[in-house]
Formats: sequence, C-alpha cells, structure tokens
Amino acid sequence: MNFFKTFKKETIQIFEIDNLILKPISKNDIEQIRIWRNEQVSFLRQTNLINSDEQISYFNDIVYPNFVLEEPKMILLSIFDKISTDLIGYGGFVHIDWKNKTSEVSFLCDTSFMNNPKIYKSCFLNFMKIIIEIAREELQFKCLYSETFEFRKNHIKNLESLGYTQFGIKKNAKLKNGISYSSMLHQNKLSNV
Amino acid sequence: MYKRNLICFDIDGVLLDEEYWFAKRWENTFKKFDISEDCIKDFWVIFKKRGFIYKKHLDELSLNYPLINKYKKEIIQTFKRTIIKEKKIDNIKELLDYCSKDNYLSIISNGNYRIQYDRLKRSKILEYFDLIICDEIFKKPSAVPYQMTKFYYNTQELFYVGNEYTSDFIGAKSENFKTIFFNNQNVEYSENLIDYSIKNILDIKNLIN
Repeated sequence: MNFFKTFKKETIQIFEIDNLILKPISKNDIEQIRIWRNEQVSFLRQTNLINSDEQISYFNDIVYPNFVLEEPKMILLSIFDKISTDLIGYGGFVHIDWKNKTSEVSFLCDTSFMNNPKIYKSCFLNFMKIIIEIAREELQFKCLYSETFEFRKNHIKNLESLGYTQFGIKKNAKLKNGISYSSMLHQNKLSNV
Repeated sequence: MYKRNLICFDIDGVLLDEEYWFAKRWENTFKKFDISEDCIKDFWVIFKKRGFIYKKHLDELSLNYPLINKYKKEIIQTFKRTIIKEKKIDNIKELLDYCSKDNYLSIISNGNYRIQYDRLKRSKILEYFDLIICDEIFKKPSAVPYQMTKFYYNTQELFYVGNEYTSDFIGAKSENFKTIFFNNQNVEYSENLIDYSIKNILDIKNLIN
C-alpha cells in the first residue's frame, strides 16, 4: 500500500487532476473547514454548530491519530485549486471497512460553490475521479458508498453519472425547516467482490 | 418517540410470498406467447421439480420443445418486466402493525433495490420500514449490510428475521443481531446461528417483548 507508506512517513503525497490538488488534511485547513461545515449544516449528518475548540479537539483526538494507523478508519484530504492554490474543500474515505474493502466517501466544498451548480459539479466530479482512482489502484477497495439527503437532487445526479447506483433508503434522516427528509444510499462497485 | 428495538426483515419468504411471485409472473408471461398447453404443463413439472429460483427452466424445457429456444430471450425479458399483484405472507400486516408501535423496522434484501422497493410499495407495507438496504454487491451472508444497518440505530436489541438458513444468519450473527428463523419448511439448523426458530410469523410478537 504505497499510499499509506508515504502517508505514515509524513511525506506529503499529492494527487492532481485537471485543476485540483489533493493533500492530506493539515492543521492550517481545519478552521476554514469548520466554517464551511457550520454554513452547510443542513446538508450534513452533523446536527449542531461546532466551535473552534471542538474542531481542534476532533481533529487531534479522532482524525490525526488515524494517520499513524496501519488500517485507519478515515483518510481525509484537503482540496486546493491548482492555479490560485486556495483551499476549496475537503473529503475522503470515512467508515473504512478494511476487512471487506469498502468505504463511505465524504465531500464538502467552499460554500460559495453551492450556489453555482457548474463549478460545484466540476469540483465534485474531479475530486471523485481522484478518489475512485486511489480507492481502486492504491487501496484495492471493492466498493464505495455514499449517503445523500433526498433534497440534494443535483448531487445525486452527479453521483449517478459516476456509476453510483441507489441500493437503499434511510427515512427520517434529516429534519429541515420542520420537514423530515430521507437519505439515499448509493454504491459504486469498483471490482468483483 | 422512543423505540426499543430494531427488527430487520428479509423480504422474500418473510414478508412476501416469493414462490407466488415467480409462479404468477411465469403464468402471465406464457399468456403473451403462442405456447402449447402441453409445453406449459411440462414447464410447471420442471418448476415444481427444480424449484422457483432455478434459472434454467426454459433450457430444460427446450430439450423437448426446441421452438422455445427461438423465443427464449423474449420470454425472459417479458418475465422480468412482468409486474403482478404481490401476495403477502399470512398475518404480516398484523405483525407489522404490532411491531412498529415501539420498534424500528428495517429491511435487508439481496434483491435489486428498485424492484424490491416497488414490490413493498405495491404491497402497501413500505411505510412500516425506516431503513431499506438491498445490497447487490455485498449480498448476504456478507456482514456488510448488517454493519450498515447498525450504524443508524442505538436500540436495546437488534433482531433479524429471515427464512434462508444458509444465507440470512451468518452476517446477522457476526454483527450481534438476535436471529429469528422463520422455519416454516422445518429445516434442521444449528443453535450457533439461530436464537429463535418459529413456524408462525406472529410468534415474533412474543420474542420481542
């Protein structure tokens, strides 16, 4: 597993595609990520707003200890614009199941992209191309999963354009403006199981 | 509202009658083709002998009726597209009404999600289920669909109700579900895999209390 060997030695492994660069998430990125998460709380499983201290604790206690594990539970990467070098989002593998070689994929981008479907789509699809390649080639994962609230119709279309198919539904997954919404569970087969 | 347990069901053979689903679709399919009565009669002999899940009914039938080969692809496509009025397992509505009062209900099935969702909806039992997982990649007996189910619930107990001894309970047991075997065929089983074996689906009412 080349990815983890370099990851564990703290060699900065960089993945590039078109206009994006992905790097292991660093402490410099986590405050901006916290702000985006709070702004987009209605799209996330997260229910409460998080403050700076909580964010730092979460990364120190939960995220960063994974960096030294042989089989981490999550691998999070920051996403940068190649030209401006600005941080524009983050995402990666969460709830990794090493035994069965599966993982959920998370993705969150700059809140300003949420109002521009073209930019959002480009960022998401390019991110996913790298993620799928890492999952298939570096990690030898067999399948990727995703959970999306039903009101994110464009995001679901984007997922399905990558070959994801719906395999489940969780009702009452999100309460938004007094209305209960379901989440759609999608999966993407990467290799024969 | 507080819910005590999660009760997770298989669909075929537990909620809906799987043999009826296959048989009725074959019956309706044959009506759309010019097939002799003798040929159809022989089909049902093979169906009874080999079982409803056997995928080579038509191949076997074509040994005596070679003309079947000519229309095989079309017949199979028609069969797959055929939608029938589903037959629920006896007393299933009564059970679901009872169980849903203070328990979450969910589904784990190996079938195609769109097809299974549609069948539950047309059977008017879809609304009982809080989570539906039809994993075609990690099929039972894999533990993956059970792990996913567990992720969403923090209940006193997790139950899994299935009727396929060889596929339903290995993953369930490895994820600490209490296993309920709807054993209406009186199959021999190991107590390592099965916590409760029942012949009447309504017996679940007593087990979850």
